[in-house]
Amino acid sequence: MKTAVAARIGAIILAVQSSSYVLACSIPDDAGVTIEQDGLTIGIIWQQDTPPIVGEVFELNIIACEESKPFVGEIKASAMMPAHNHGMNYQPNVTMKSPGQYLATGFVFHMFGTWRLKLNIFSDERRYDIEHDLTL
Amino acid sequence: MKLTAYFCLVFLLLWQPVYGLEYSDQELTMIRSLGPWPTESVKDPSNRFSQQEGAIELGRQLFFDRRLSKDNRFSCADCHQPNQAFQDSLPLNKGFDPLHRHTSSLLDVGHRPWYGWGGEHDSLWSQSIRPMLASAEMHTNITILKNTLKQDNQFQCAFQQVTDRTIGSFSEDELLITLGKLLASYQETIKSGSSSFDLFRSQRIKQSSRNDEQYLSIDAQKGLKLFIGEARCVLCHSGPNFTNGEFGDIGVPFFIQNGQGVDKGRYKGIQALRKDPYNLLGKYNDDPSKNNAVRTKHLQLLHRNWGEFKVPSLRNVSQTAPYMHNGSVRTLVDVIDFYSNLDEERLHADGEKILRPLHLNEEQSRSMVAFLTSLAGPISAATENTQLFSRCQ
Amino acid sequence: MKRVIGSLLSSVLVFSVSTAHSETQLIDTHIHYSHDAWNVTPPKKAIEILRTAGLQKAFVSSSSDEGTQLLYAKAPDLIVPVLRPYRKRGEISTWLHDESVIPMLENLLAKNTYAGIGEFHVYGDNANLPVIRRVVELAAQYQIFLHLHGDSDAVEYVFDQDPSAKILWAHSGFDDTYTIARMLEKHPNLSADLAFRNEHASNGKVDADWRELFLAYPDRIMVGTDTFSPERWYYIIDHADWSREWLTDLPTDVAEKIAYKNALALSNWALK
Repeated sequence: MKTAVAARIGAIILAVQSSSYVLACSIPDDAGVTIEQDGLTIGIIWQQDTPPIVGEVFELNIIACEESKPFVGEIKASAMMPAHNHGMNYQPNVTMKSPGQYLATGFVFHMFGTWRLKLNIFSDERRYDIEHDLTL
Repeated sequence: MKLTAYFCLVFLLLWQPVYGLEYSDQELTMIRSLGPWPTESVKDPSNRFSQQEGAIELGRQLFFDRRLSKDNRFSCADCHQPNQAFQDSLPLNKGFDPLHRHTSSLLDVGHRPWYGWGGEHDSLWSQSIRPMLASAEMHTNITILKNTLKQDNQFQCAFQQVTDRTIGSFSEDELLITLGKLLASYQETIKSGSSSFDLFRSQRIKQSSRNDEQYLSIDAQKGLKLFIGEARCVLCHSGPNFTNGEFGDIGVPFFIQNGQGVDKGRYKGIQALRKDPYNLLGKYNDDPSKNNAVRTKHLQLLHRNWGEFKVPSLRNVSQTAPYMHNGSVRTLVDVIDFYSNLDEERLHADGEKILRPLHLNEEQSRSMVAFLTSLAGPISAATENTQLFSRCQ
Repeated sequence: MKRVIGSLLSSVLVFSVSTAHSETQLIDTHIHYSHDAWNVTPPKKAIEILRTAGLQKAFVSSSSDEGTQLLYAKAPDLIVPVLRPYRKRGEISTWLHDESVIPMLENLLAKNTYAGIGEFHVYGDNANLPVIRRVVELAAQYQIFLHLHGDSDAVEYVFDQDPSAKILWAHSGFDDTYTIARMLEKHPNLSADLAFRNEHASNGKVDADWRELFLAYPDRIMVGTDTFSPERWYYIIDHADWSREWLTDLPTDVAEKIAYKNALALSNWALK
């Protein structure tokens, strides 16, 4: 599973890096979640291809494409349970691995129910606030 | 007449008795999530001695060894008593001074994310160091301990066999950590086995509801339905070990007796963990990848951590009374009463409350107790294996 | 001689305790001293905790008001009394349907000194119920503020009733920085308390979105603990330490306003 994800990410990185002038960006067909908002497309690949398990640490790869080009900027990630209005006990960290490719670590959903993943994606010019609900 | 007899025969052949209660798909998903049990033993990558039989035996000997305390007063086993599900059945015990936290059971203590009622430690071995040094508990110091152990030729020999080094070659810090890791290796073997609930769960997963009453009484099944449904216990007591490994404030008062202020619980636990030189972010973690330190690295200190205490496992819970971080609730019936009459004014909530008074009637309370009692499985731990060190005799 | 040395020593000790917490002045705007706290943390001990935390002032409201009066009598220099419309815990969701609350408030307001009415809970158009309307009128009559725990809709309805009302928005409505900024922009008489909020700071560092809010509205934000259970009284000390830590990550003038100057201005306005 992990190898498949790594191979897919590798292919995307290769595609991004092999274009000298216009960097291409696309979301893999089998990304766990794809979200489009105001010209930004986000792909989320769950660690080990499975959605989060209650109480387990997980990380996610985020692919961010803006009008088919890799989005270069910062991402702030958090999660909360809207029903109870409480967040996680952990503060995730997001690092850019290459243009458009981000790794978010340090997530633990410690309860069954609906969790809202929040991604604040921003650069000097733009800002996108993305939310995605998933129920465990 | 013949026809009637024929239909009766067909009916008898087709009819199969159905026992137990009906479960929705959602309930079955929840039931599935509470197993399998027991889980496979996994090596603790932070502890290089984990699952080594010599380390387990040496750890076992240390666990029962009163020389680990000042004046040879207490061993670990004096509070974590094997015949009491590895706890002491007292609300609050007394070492060199009265303690203000209840002795936790050591059942299934391996591979938890946090240790201690406030989660002061992130590994079983670092947690095992704490009581040896705590002035209210075993109150020893490593200088004295090193000298004592060095004078015991048999122990020296066994120690060298396990660690490939003499006690004298260890710095005091290294020795302390090694003793913690040996103690942890033994404690990882303390386990609860398959319970009535686990047998019921296996049966249900096979899509068969026949005869499941023989594993779990109807009363206990009603308790299970409450547990995973209306009472929402499973929100925190989740997974095969019946805990999400985290912390909660359920409204148990947390003042310390004799006007010593409050037990800050998880709040102080996080502060202590961050300062602990033996935490998994430090150099004593035997996993060079530090993949096991992700939680420690990303932990947040939150206002709600004030007075939060560990969500305990419910495995063999009927054998681990009294309950709560301060042992203030005497029996399982009292625990159910506590949740039934919860004082929600003590809890801060915005949005839908996770905790609310359950207002269970007598029958429901009985069912909950029956279900919780069904979580008891046979207890096992590594037994004496001194022949491993026969050349040291 | 011994006595002189002893008294000098004790002065030094008292001085060192008070300076340990007084690098940054601080006012806590969200404290309750309700009936279940009185026995376990008697007034003398409660005041000692506030002083140990190094607070210049503490906004206290209690269920019942007797708790506030007990503390105010002990330390009028320290306590900013706020009138909570609850006789006991457990009236959070019922009080606004209970018209007997009104004469109780009227009597207490006539008898005692208060800087505000609250902290009270109200959401959505419940803010238009007669009990709330009268509370808003009383605040206007006595020229004191309202400490409102509720959503932005409830805040809007109160301002509809009295655009000149002064509202301290408890927990800033547990809302996000955009909503808080929008509300502060729209309502010049609105202030926001940060009680029981964590999002704005972690490990002594202020979050970027919150920093933007603090710099945009430095005169409108205040800190608070919220002692919603008796044990939380001891949190006042740790919370003060926590607040001082993240405040140092802001420009000094902004930090001072959020730490105490805004709260002092509100208290001075109300207790003029």
